[in-house]
This record gives sequence, C-alpha cells and structure tokens, in this order.
Amino acid sequence: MRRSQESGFREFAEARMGHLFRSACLLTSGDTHLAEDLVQETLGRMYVVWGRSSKIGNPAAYAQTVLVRVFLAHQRRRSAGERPSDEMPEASETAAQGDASLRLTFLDALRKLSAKDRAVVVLRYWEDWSVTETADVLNVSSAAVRTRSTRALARLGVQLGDSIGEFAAY
Amino acid sequence: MSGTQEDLDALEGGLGDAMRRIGENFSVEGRSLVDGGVVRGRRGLRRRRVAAVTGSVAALAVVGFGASYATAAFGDGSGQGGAGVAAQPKVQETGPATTSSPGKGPQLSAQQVIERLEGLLPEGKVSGQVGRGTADRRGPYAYLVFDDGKGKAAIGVSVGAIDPHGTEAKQQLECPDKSFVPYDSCQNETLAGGSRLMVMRGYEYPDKRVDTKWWHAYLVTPDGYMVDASEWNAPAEKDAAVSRAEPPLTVGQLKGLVTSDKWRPVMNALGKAAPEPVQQPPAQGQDGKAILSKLKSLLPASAKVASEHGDDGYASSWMTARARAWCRSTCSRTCPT
Repeated sequence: MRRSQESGFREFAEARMGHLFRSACLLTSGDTHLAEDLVQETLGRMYVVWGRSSKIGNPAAYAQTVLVRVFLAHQRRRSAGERPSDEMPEASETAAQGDASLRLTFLDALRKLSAKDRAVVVLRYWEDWSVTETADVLNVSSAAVRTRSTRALARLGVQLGDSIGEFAAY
Repeated sequence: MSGTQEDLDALEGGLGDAMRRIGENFSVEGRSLVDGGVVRGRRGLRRRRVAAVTGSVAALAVVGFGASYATAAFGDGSGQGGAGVAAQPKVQETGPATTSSPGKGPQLSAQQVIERLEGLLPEGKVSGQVGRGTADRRGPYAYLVFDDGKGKAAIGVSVGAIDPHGTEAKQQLECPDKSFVPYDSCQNETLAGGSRLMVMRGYEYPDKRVDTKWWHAYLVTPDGYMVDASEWNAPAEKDAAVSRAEPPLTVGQLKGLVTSDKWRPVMNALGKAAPEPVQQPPAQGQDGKAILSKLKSLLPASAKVASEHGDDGYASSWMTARARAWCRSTCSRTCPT
C-alpha cells in the first residue's frame, strides 16, 4: 500500500474504530478482549481491500458488515470447538460504573441469545439498519430477520424481567 | 418473567437508545486497535502476494506440459477458468455465500427469477418488479406488486440453500409462540416427498398498530433448499396504506407457489449449503423440553398453562392470573406481569 493510501486508511480507521469497538462489545455481550480482536481483524481486512476503496461505496457500512461476518465466523469456530463461558469478562470493570446493574442485566440477556440473533439485534437496533439491509449482511431472507428479531426481543424481554420498563426508559 | 405485548413494544421502542447508552460505556482509550489492524492487514497483503506468485509459477509449469493444459490454466476467455488451479486468486464477488459447492444447473438472471414468480401468479396485473439472479451472493429473489382487481399487493419470493437438518431450518419451520407473535393461523406439515412447510397468516407489525397483513410460506426440501414467499395486503411491505382486506393469494395458492417445480432450476443453480456446525449440547443438559418440564413442575397445582414454548436454554409458559400472583410472590424477577 502506498504511503498516501496508508495514511488515508489510518484516518478512516481512527474515525471508525470507536464505533466498531462499541458494536463489537455489544456483539460479544461485553467481552472487551474478544471485541478488540474482532475490530483488529476487521481493520486488517479493510486494509487489504483499501486500495480498492473507490469500489466500496460506503467504507463505514462495509466495515460494519465485515465486523459482523468476522464475529459470526468466530462464533461458528467456537461452537465447533469450545464451550462458552458462563462468566462475563470484565464484569467488575463495567459494574464499577453508574447504572451498572441494568447494563449488566442487559449484556447478560444479550449473551443468552444465539450469535445470529445477537447480530440481528445489534444491526437492527444499534445500527438502525432496515430488515433488508440486515438480511443482506447475514445472507438470510427478510422473513428470517423478522422472525429472529421478534424472537430475540421476546427473549430479551424474558431475560430483563421486571427491569424491562426501566430498561426501555434507560 | 415479563413479556406482555405492551412491554415488548416499549422494549422495541427504547432498545436503540438504550443500546447506544450502554455502548457509550465501552471506551477505546488505550487500545491500539488501528496499529493492530494495520499489522494484520499487511500480513494479509503479504499472503495475497505470495498466493499470486505461487499461482503464476504453477501456471508457467502447466505451459511446459502442453498447450491444452495451458488453455485450462488460463481459462477460455469466458472467465470460468476451466481447470485453472493456476489462476490468480481473486476476491469472490458473486455466487451464493452460504453454499459450499457450486450448483449443477445453469445460472439464472434476475429477470428469469422474476418471470418464474410471474408465471405462478393467477390472472392480474404486475408492476414494480425487482429481483436478483442466482449468481448474486445475496441469493435469488423476486419482488413485485400484483393486482388481481381487488387492490395492489406486494409479493416476494426468495430461494436459497439451507442445511435441512440444521437449527435455521427448524426455527423457520416452527410456528412462533402466539404470545409474542400474533397470527390468525399457522400450520406446518411434512409433504409427500419429504419437504417441510410452514404457512402463517400473520401481521406485518406484531402490535397490529397498522392493519397490514403479512402472509408467509416457508418450504424446506429434503435435499437442502428453501423457498420463502411473503405477501401483503398493501403495495409495499412497510410505509404503504392497506389496499385490500387480505393479501391476494389464499393459503392454498401460497402453498402451491412455494412447492412449484418451477423453482427447481433456481435451486439447481445454487449448489448445496454447508452443514451447520454441530451444536454444543446446552449447558448441564438444559434443553428446551427439560426446562419446560422443570418450569411446569414448579408451578402450583392450581395453575393452568395457557400456552408453552421451550428452546434450548429457555422456556416460557403463560399462566393464569392466579398462578402469576403466586409466581410473583415466589420468584419476582422471572414472572409474567
């Protein structure tokens, strides 16, 4: 990559890394170490295609798509060889901050969704993407996104229990 | 357990904002994400260059063995590459992303997919056609507005490859829990030949805030393909006024649409889906049935279960008011309100 291109890439990466990291933290339900790894992998893949960035209409959206696919690929590998941990990493760090209980409850609820359901929730509600855009990224039909979205919401509702009202107004 | 429709609506309405507030708590300060990304990117570029060089050397070696092999290595100009193991690697831009093998049939254009849908509709006018061909990585799709004289209605069909024994197929074929997703009817059946079908007459908005009806059929064939059809009683999925009392195709016609042999060439162009990874057994044997059974055993004898639903790691049971009162006094965080 030419120096000017690398400088352009760094500028893009600096501007987007915060958002990508926060998305990754939600996808991983608060596992900041894994989120960091996913973001680096995403930026690495963006670096490889950066020379062709003129062909990528919207690099920010493209990076978000890459992040979700990197996350799902990681989850597929993990489901084949590892057992998910019951403990949420860095819970104490998060708990030390205000409103910690509600945040922990939500991240814990998010963690109990399947990886694909979590991706649907993050894309639809955190990214505010449409059903069609979400379906395109996940390579599933719009109906599948709709079904997953509804079920994921229902499960989040169950997990949030009595906190649901408090959370909705959070 | 909470989860009335009102609660879920409130959750859906506030979820985006709440997630943004939660997300803001994760700070990138002190994390060398960009440097880490650049290092990985450079490594990726190096690998790519090595692969390209290796490819060129292999191609030259093939030329040494004779012209016929060289033709195969460099392709015949059609871009297919023949037996071109030596072709320079390139990013896969097309082809279904979810399939693990190439299709055995010829590729179909978006127009051909749309025409198949048109050919399966009863008499009427069609407009607003959009579609995707079988080579599109997002999968073939046809969408149009149909008017049989009773009002314009949107109809869409997508076809894809799926692991017929996987979780995705199982979930899509299940009728949803009516406590969460209201519908007028939902039936699933196994057809002669082994295909499994779910047909649901539901609503676009689960809270029915707009009376748009969404009728949906989902078919999974035993050889691993799915046909997914939707129709609405409005000319668009969302943001369009209801144009007729009901969607144009009856349940029987919707069933005929997804089970038609006309989709077979579309399926043949797609190849097979990669099998879903083997699922880990739920922790401590907590499959849906076991949790449901446990949940019901903990209810008081007077409780009447109105409906029940169990998935791995999760189960719900809707109970009568008396049982809910008992539950709240016993386990407040997980009771229905």
